[in-house]
Amino acid sequence: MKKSVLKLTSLLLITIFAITIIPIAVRAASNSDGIILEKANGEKIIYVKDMKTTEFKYAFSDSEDSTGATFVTASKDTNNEFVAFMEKGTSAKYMFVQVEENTNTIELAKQKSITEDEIKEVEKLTKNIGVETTGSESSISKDGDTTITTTNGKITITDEGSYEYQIFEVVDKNSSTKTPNETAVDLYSQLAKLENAEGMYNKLLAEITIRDDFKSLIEKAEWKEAKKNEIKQPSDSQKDEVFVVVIREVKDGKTVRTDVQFMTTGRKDDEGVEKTSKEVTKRTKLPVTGENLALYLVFGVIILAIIILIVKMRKAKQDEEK
Amino acid sequence: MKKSKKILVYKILLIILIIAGSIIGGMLFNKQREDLVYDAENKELVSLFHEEIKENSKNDKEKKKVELTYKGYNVIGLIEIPSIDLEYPILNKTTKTTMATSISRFSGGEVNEYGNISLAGHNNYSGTMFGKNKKLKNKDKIFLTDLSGNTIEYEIYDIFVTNPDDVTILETKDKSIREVTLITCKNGRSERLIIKAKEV
Repeated sequence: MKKSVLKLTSLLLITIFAITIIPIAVRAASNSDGIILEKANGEKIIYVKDMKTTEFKYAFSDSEDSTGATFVTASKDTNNEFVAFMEKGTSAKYMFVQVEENTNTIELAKQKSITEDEIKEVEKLTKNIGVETTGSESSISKDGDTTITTTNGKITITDEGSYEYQIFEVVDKNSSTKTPNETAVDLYSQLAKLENAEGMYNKLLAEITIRDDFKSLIEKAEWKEAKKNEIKQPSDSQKDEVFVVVIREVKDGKTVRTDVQFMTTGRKDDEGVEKTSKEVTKRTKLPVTGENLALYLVFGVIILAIIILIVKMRKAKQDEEK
Repeated sequence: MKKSKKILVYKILLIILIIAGSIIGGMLFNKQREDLVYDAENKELVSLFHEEIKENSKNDKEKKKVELTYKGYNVIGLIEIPSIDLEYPILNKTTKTTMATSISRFSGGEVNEYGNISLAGHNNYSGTMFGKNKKLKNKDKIFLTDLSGNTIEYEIYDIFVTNPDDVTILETKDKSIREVTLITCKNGRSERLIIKAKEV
C-alpha cells in the first residue's frame, strides 16, 4: 500500500514537472508584433517590435511548429537596426523569432505592411497641393461702444485648378456644437508621433496608420467647393482649435490629387471702447467730383467770338476799300 | 472815319479776347498737364504698393502691412477695374487735395472690411480717375487690394444717378457682406453717378 502510494505520488510529480518544463523549450505561438516593409525590388524587410538593438535569429515556415526550422541570424539595415530579410519570391505563413532560448511566432499574414511607394506618399501628404496658410481676414462688429475686430485664418490654394475640401474637427474648444472626428484626431496625433518616432518599427507603424486614416477621411469626406480657392477657418471657431482639412483637386468629375493640411485657429477678438470725444463726421452731401464745365464753355465762347470778330474785321476792311 | 473806328474797336476786342482765351486756354492746358502728372504719380504709387506686398510676403514670421503716403495722406489700398483699364491707389480721406490727385475714401471702414466703403473720384474729361465710369455696366468686376495684400473681387450689381444730397448710398445695409460704392459727378456737377458692387 505504501509502495503504491509512493509510486503514484512520484508519477504525479513527474507529470507535473514535465508539463511545466516542456513549454519552456518549445513555446506555443504567442504572436509577437512585426511590420513588413515591401521594397520596390520585391524583397521584404521585417521589423520586430522592441528588437532593433537585439540580435535575434529568425526562420520562416508554413507550419506553426518551429521544430526543424532553419534559423539565421538577423542582419542590420541601413539604420543599424536588426531586421529579418525575406528574399524576392519567397513566401511563408510564419516567422519564428528566437532570442537565446525563447522563440516567438509571428503570423505574417496578420502583420501590418507598407510599400516604399506608400511611404513616399505619406511623406508628401501635406505637399501635394500648393497652399498658403498665413492668410487671414478681419471683420468688425460693434456692441454698443465696444468695437470688436475678429481676425480669422484661411488656407489659400495657390495651384490652379478646381478644388474641394472637408474640414474635420480635432480639438474642440467650443464643446457645445462640435464633436472631434476620431479618425482626424488619430491622423493628427500620428503625424506628431511620426516626427518623434524612435526606430523604424515605430516610424513605419505611424506611417501605416497615417496612410489608413487619410484614406478613410477621403472616403468619408462630404466635399465642399473651395470658392476662389480659399478655405476659411470655421466662423465660430475659437482660439487654438485644431482642424484637419482634406483637399482634393477635381477635373472632369474625377479626383486628380489629394492633400491634407492642418488649421490651428487663431481667432483674435480685439475689444476697444470708442471714446465719445472722437470726431464723427456726419455726411450730409456727396462730394463734388466733376470738372468745372464753366471754364470749357467760356473758352469755347471766346474762340467763337474771336472767329466772329475776325470775319467782321475782314468784312469791314473790304467795305472800307470799296 | 466811322468805319476806321469800327475796325479799331474790333481790333481792341480781338486783343482782349485773345488775352482772355490765352489765359483760360493756359489754365485748361495746365489742368490737363496736371492730370497727366498725377496719373503718372498714381501709377508709380501702385507699383510701389505691389512691390511692398511682394516684399512683405517674403517675411513668413511677421505679416507686415503696406505703409505708403501720398501728399501727406495714407494710402489704404488699391482699386482696379480691368474693363475700363483703371488702377489707382486709394487715399484715406476725401479732401480737395486728394480729390484732385487720386481716388479717396469718402466714407466707410478699411478696404475689404465687411460693410460698405464709398470711394470718390473726379469725372475727368481726360478719362483719368473715374472719367470712364460711365462705360461700366452690371457684372463688371472691381478688385480692391488692402494693406495686407489681400485682393477681393467685387461685382457691380447696380448703377444709377442721384442728387448730391442723397447720402443714403453711403449706408451699410448688410454688415455681413463686403460692398463698395463708387461716386463721381454726372451732368457737370449737378448729379452723381453711383456704382454699387459687392463681393462675389
